[in-house]
Amino acid sequence: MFNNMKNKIREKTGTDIPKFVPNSKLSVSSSRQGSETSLNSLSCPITDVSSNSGAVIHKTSDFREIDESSYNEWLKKEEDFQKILQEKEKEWKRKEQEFKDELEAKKKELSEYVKQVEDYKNKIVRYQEDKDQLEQYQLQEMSKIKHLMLAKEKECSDNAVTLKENLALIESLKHEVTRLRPLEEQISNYEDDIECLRHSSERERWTLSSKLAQSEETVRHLRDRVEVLMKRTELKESADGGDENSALTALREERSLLERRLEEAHIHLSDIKSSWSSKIASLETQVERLSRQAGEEGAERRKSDNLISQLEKKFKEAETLNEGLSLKLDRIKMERDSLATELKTLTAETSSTESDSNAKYQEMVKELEDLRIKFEDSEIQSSHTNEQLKIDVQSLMRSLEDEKLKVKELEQSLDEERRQRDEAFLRNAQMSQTIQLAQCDLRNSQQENDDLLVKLNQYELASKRKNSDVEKLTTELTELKSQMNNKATTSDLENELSEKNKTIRMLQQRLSDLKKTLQEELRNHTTSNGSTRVSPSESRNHTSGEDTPPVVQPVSSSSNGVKTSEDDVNFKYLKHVIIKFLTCREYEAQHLTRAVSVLLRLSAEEEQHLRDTLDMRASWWPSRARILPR
Amino acid sequence: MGGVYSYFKSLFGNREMRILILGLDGAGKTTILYRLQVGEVVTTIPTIGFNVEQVTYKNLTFQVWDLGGQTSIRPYWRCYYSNTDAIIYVVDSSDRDRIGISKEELLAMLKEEELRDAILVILANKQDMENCMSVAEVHRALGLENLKDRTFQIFKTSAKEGEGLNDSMDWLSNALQSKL
Repeated sequence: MFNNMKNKIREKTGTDIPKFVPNSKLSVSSSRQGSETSLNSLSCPITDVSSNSGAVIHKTSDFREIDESSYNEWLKKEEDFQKILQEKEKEWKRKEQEFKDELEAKKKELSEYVKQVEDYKNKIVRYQEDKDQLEQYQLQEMSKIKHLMLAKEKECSDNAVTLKENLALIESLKHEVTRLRPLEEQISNYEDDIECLRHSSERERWTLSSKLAQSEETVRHLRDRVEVLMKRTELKESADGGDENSALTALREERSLLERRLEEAHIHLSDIKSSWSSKIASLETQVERLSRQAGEEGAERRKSDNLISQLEKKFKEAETLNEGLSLKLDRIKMERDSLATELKTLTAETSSTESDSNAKYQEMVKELEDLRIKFEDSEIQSSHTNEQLKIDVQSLMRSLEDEKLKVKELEQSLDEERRQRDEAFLRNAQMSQTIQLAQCDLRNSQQENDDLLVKLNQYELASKRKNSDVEKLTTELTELKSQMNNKATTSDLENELSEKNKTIRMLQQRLSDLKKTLQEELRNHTTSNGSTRVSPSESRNHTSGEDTPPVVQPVSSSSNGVKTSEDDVNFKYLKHVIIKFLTCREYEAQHLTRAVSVLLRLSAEEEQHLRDTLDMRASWWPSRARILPR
Repeated sequence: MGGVYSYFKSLFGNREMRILILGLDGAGKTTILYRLQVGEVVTTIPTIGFNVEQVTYKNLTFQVWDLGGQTSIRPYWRCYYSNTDAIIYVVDSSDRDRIGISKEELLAMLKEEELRDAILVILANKQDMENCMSVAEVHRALGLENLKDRTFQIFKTSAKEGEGLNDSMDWLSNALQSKL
């Protein structure tokens, strides 16, 4: 702005503006000089002075020498300057205004930006919340994984404890086994000794018992010897006292005794043998028992051997299990390590994903902004379009309602039109019928007319002839009158003349009558549409071809002789139709209603009534219509 | 199925074919009606009014209306036109004078809205008479070559001899069945 000013000033003055500081000094000095010289110079504004300082300096310095004219010039210049100043001020104001406007616009824009920034801030806060949530979720996940790890470790330690227990048990079992092995040997030794002792004792016992039996035997033998010897001695004492026979008998007795004893000894021996055999049997049983015992012991030993082997096996299994457990432990440790590494990687990933998500989030924010802008635009557009559409819809609805109303009106009118059309059809049918009838009648009447005209012509001709005759007669009469003045024949002729005149008048009367009837006939045919009056000649022609035997001659037809035969046909037709209508089936009667209504010239209401009654009769349920007399 | 349908139809359906026999007076309409119904020639008197009979032909029942054809009662034909399935129009082939009137009556009848869908059978009757018109002549005289939009057929018949009536009824029953 100031540059502009400067440039302008330069253009005006042609000199460059000196620096501002000396300018002010100059202005001060100029004002002082002005106060010294005249008050007029004070009217020159300071700004003006400052702007044109260079020129003023010179002028003020020469002011004293300036006369009135120059003073006037000065005034003019001053005015010019003032004008310029005012223009400048205006320009300034204008520019200031523009600047203000610009500033306001910028302010508005800035305020909008501030709003947008606030929105973004809100969004950022929201996204921050989302991020925090995500972090929380991650932490939760991490804690879960840690928890799982802890649980696994606990399990591992439990397994190790159980493993140690098992190992201790195995150790104790081994000790037991080692301790029990020498004891087993001792037991077997002791058992062997016991066996040996038992055997020896039994052998001794046997020997002792056998010795005892020997000794007892010897004792018994000796006692027998003693007895025998005693007897011998007794015998020897008796023999000493008796003879040899007695000695012999004594000897014999002795021998028998001895034999007896021998037998006893035999028996005894056999007893002993039997006892011995029983003893042997018992001994054998004993041996068997012992051998069985030995077998049982062997089985026990085998059992213990088996047990030992089983225990060894168990031990081995436990060892293998131990190894497996240790392997598992190693594995679990490995897993733990891997999980830890995974955890680390996951944390790293989460951090990376966080950063990614942040980036994405920013992108999303941008996209969101774009979308928001678009959405707003579209919203505005859509609201516009919506309003337009609403307006359109309303207008359309209005038009639709109008249309509906119109349609209703049109329908009503259509119904009316239909009704009118139906009525018109009916009327048309009747009309056409009547027209046909009338045409027939017209044709007949035309023929009649022609006949009448012919007759009329004939009559006219006859009348002309009569007239000519009359004229002739009159001429004759005049001639006769002229010829014969006083004759009796004149009176006769006059009589004749009057008679002729009378006949002429009668003929003329008939002619006029015929004309009248003809006119009447014509009028009748033109005015009355449905009247079926036919001239007698026509109707007679009609009936001449038919040889219908008249069943009932209507009274009216006989009285009205002209229409008899024509009415006869119509009447017969009517009669026939009515009889059929009354006698035929209802289905046929429904078809006949039309004919009946046409023949009887029923109105539409009457015909409808007829149809309704027939329908009611035809229906399955007999109705009240039969009761109501009509 | 069709048999059952027709059976039920015969039970419930009151609808038998409605046929009108039309033509000028003395064409032989009544003779044809009774020839169809009883198969015999009956002596007739001019019909003032109408005759209605039920005629059964090949399992088809027709309600045949023979309307009197005299000039004065011809206008009443139109009272019978409603619900008509077919028209048998009888022409006296020997009556050369009134064939024009017959044509006029035929054309007037065919203009009726109620007979728009009715099948038309034209019988050139009295073919037994000497010096009668041939079928082609009758066809020409009635102007049938101009007759469009109408199912119709012309037959030469003699009601007195019973000639040609079966052919025409065969054709008519077929046409009516195909129309259903």
